[in-house]
Amino acid sequence: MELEAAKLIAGALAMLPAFGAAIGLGLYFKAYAEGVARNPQAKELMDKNFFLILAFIEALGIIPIGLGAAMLFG
Amino acid sequence: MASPVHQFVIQELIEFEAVGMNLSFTNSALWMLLAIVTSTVFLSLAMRKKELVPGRMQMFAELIYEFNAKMVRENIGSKGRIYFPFIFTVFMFVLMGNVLGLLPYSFTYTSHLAVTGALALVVFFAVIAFGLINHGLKFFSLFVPDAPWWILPLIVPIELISFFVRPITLSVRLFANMMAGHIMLKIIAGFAVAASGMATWGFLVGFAPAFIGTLMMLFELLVALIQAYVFAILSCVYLKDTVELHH
Repeated sequence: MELEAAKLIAGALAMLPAFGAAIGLGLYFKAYAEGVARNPQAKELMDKNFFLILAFIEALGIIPIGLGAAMLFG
Repeated sequence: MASPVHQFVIQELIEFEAVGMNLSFTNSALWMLLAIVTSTVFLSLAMRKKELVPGRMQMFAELIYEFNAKMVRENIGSKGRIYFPFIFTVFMFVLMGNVLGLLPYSFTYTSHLAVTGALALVVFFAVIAFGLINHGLKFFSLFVPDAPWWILPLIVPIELISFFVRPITLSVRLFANMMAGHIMLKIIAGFAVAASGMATWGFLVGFAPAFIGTLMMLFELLVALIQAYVFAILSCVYLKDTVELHH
């Protein structure tokens, strides 16, 4: 297996975790929408860390993409 | 057509050799300089008149200030005021890096692990230094939560690992977000170019990727703002341990 082929396969495989992050983000927004629907007063409390949690979930998805891209084009 | 990673190549603008090291002025340093100059000029211009009823620019500067002050006040508490300038600088530096990086033909210095790693290590060693200064050796009680003694051999390594993984996640998160985002933008732009060159009427086909490209650019702007905010707020959260030990 030449290095080139291995690098391409590794790059592609490294980008799979984004699949999980997408589901995670979907679930997070679902929980957020439901939470606000059930109790609108809690919206202000839930907004406090909204972007922080969003970034955490996205980080778990985009770190493999970044490493995959580094492998593919590295 | 240059490969999507071509945009991250550092070109030396002014060659400069000293002490055996290559200290040449690169395009990354140029854009860091631009980021600093624009933020200082903007903030000093905005706060020039200091009216009681703020004008538009002053209101925007106050918005940035209030945003950071609230973040520091909430996450580090009143004793954390001494860290406010540091957090504000880190926030502005990362924010300007990300936002200026969206300009065409610009260079995003936050898309290099060296830069984000350096920022994360600065925060990491600041936490250790201030922790030792404020609490002396009691700072290490941070790793020994008040759990029953028989579970400590399991908890302490976990606390240690979670402490030392902080700079890694802090830097790789910003680095990967910026790099992957810009690679995606470059690839979509490549589609637009390739599609429009395809056939005579291909010119119209090229509009689809170009339109998606503009959406992606908006999304990248959002990611840029969020990543700057997250980097700053996590620095606040990490600095909180140096102010008061929670156990």
